[in-house]
Amino acid sequence: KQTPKKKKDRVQMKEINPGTEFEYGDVNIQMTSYDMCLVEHFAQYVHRLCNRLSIKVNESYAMPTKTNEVLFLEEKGSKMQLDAVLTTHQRVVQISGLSSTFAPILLEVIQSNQPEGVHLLIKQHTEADFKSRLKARPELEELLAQI
Amino acid sequence: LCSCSSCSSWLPQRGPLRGSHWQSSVLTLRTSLPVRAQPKKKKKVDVKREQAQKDRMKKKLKKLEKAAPELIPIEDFITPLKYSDSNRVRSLPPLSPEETERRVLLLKKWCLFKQKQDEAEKKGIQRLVESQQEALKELRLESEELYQAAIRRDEGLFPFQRDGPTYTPPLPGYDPPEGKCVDITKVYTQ
Repeated sequence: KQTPKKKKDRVQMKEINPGTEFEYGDVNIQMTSYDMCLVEHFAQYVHRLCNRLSIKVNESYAMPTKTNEVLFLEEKGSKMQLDAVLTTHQRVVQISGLSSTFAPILLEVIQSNQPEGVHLLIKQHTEADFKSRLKARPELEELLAQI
Repeated sequence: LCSCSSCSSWLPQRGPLRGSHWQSSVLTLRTSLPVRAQPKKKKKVDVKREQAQKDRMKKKLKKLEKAAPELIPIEDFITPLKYSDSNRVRSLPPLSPEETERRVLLLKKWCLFKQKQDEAEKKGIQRLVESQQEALKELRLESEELYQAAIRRDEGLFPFQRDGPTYTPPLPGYDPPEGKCVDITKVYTQ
């Protein structure tokens, strides 16, 4: 039995947990790589690891994919030539309530399993991190600037 | 019969007479009729217009703000249409029983290997936690102050960054060609 959803879930920022003196609040484990399969599997591994270690996982999501064109200058020429089109993929596992004593152990385990070419960034979650997932609203911003 | 003796007095006194034949309009140097007689009603009409404009903008703002913010769609999870083309289906050759046997045994070996690896990791974590707890216990016996400082959270820990390992180290003395990176990510707007 499921309670019927009256309206679509509004995309709203959840309150950010700042943590206490002995616990870290909302922390984002961001994994970035050019290789989507590697980063996807690593994110799944990190999520399962946190579940196993009874660390609360708030969310596990993907950041928008970035695409870059790499151009290089030919040896005997002035024209830029297209070398490759690279896509950068990022996955985020957001945890909460990590104890200060266990944090270094978790970091150690994650690092020892870090695959080749996957960049790891662990930082505290901020509003800016949430806003970077949303579409730009130029109309709204223009209006706000006018008022 | 109207008496035209005093014609000049009959002339309308409103508009001034033309100064010279170069002046084409009867009105003064402002050569067009004021449309809304602005100089007379400047304050009221402008304030009203500005107020109406502000109200319209506020209404539009309210409407836009009512719409919930949308997440940028993730291109990774959208399969390009060309891959759902039915022509792309491959028909694999049938496998011999020896080959399937070999594969099954290999899979079992791999499962066993991964299980041992996982267990070793779990044990490692357990040992780390145990030795940490023991060290903290001893520290507490030594000095309560240091113990309290030790269990506090480390503000300098985050943000923490690390690049993944590479298959080969960087080539010494490698001279890369000149080039640039252009960001062509699609920008989504709401």
